[in-house]
Amino acid sequence: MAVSQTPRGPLLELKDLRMHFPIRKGAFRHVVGHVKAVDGVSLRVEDGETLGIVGESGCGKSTLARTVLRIYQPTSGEIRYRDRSGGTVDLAALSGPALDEIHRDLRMVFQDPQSSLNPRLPVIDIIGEVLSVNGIVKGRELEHRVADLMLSVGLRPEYMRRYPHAFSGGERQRIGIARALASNPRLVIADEAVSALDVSVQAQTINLLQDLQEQFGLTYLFVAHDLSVVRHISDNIAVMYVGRVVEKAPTELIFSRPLHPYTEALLSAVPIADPRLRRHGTRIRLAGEVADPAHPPPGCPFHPRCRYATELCRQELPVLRTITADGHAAACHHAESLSLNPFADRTVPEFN
Amino acid sequence: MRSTLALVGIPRPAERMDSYAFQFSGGMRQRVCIALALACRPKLLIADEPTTALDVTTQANILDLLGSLQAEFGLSVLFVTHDLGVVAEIADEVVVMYVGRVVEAGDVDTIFHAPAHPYTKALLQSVPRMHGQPTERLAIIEGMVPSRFARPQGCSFHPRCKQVRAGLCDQRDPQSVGIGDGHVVSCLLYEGGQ
Repeated sequence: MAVSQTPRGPLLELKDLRMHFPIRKGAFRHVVGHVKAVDGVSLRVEDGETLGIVGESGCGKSTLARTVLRIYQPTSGEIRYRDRSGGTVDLAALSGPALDEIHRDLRMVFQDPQSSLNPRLPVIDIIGEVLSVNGIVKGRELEHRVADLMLSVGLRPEYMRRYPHAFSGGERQRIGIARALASNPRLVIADEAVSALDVSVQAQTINLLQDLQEQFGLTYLFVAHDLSVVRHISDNIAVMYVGRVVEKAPTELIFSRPLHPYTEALLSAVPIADPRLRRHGTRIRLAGEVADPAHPPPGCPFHPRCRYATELCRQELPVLRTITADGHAAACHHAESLSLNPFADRTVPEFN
Repeated sequence: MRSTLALVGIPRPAERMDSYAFQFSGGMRQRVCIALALACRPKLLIADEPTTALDVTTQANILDLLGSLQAEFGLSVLFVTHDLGVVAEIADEVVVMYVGRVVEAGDVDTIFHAPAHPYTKALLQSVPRMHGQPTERLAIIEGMVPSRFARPQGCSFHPRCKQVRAGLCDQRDPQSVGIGDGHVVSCLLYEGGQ
């Protein structure tokens, strides 16, 4: 199957999206504060691309994924989605049948294939449920469609009456992927989809995801904390910190020319699978903890851990802005003046 | 007790002694676990995937901590992990296991730069690279790790091995063979050379 030749543009555009969860206390459940899990995210996801979203745990990347899918009702902001007819709808304002319709186009692959598949359903029902609930096919035809889906993710259709426990971790994740593909989606959100897998199985799954993207012209929102996996699969990367995007750029630029001190620190912490590079380059170690999204520090949320922080950073919140013409955006007051260590610094052995 | 907490880098140990586990972050909890293990001044510390559940930034801090404790107390560390990047960062010697058996052992440089066992080679190739040009497709190891209860005959790795030799690898159990300074491999490809 060839990739459809529709004019490519943004498939999804997030505008100042916020997801604040209330903190309730006391007998009357008064709201005493908000966890600002996603706090003003604006992002474009182009049709057919893979956008990687990285950040530490608690930075809001999973909440962002869930909000886009409308598992949550966003606090404010827009989720502009270009539907099949070419028109744009704001998912944040949709509900009921109109939202159900969109949910066929937007699917999710979950992190843990152990807990995201119902242990009491055979594979044919796990995958088939998507087809029958959405009224796509029924009966005999459903069985054929499930068999096709299993084949496309490299599972044997003979096993469709087996239960999840009869499959290995990697195979279970393939069931999860087949389920996501069942309704012919356009956007697949993979939330740490390969994180729970062993390296050899992880490699198989990454290759499968890339094959399926090519075959069905899918767009991926790939949420992960493993930078080597994200580098491998993504066209563009967005780095998140405490509910905000702090840097966004084409993948290679993130690694070769980071513009945000947080990205620099993140790159510096990645272990490299080569013992000869052990002591190369500058190592930056972040002190302290990730800021509490219920009480983010004033100014730039990264300033208490940032080694370049100035008075301005303590007072004023930097916004995400385009820094260079090649589409490199960062939310740092000093993005132009800092010369940060690229990842390459650590990978070039020094000869002397 | 207070000094052990200070040792693993917990700020204000005197105050934090009365805290419960849930009041600590993931990285701090792992530090407490290390303090727990260090409390009786051991000679050998066994760390089973101690950083797998942590973020890279926290992982880097914990690995630094283990390194400095090792230097200070002359600890030996048995570090169990599936993360090859972490192995390359901290190990002196590496033992590669497959379905309950050691298939290769050697110093860290040899394992990463001159691996001998087909399983070690395949494992190293299946990791997405962080340096150099990204590859289009990742190399994979076909099939799955067999169950402990259905170990294949002969070499356990033979059904997935690219260098398998029919009639040999599926029959005979490989013995470990020394092929260099401290470099040991269990593979029939190397047994002829003895």
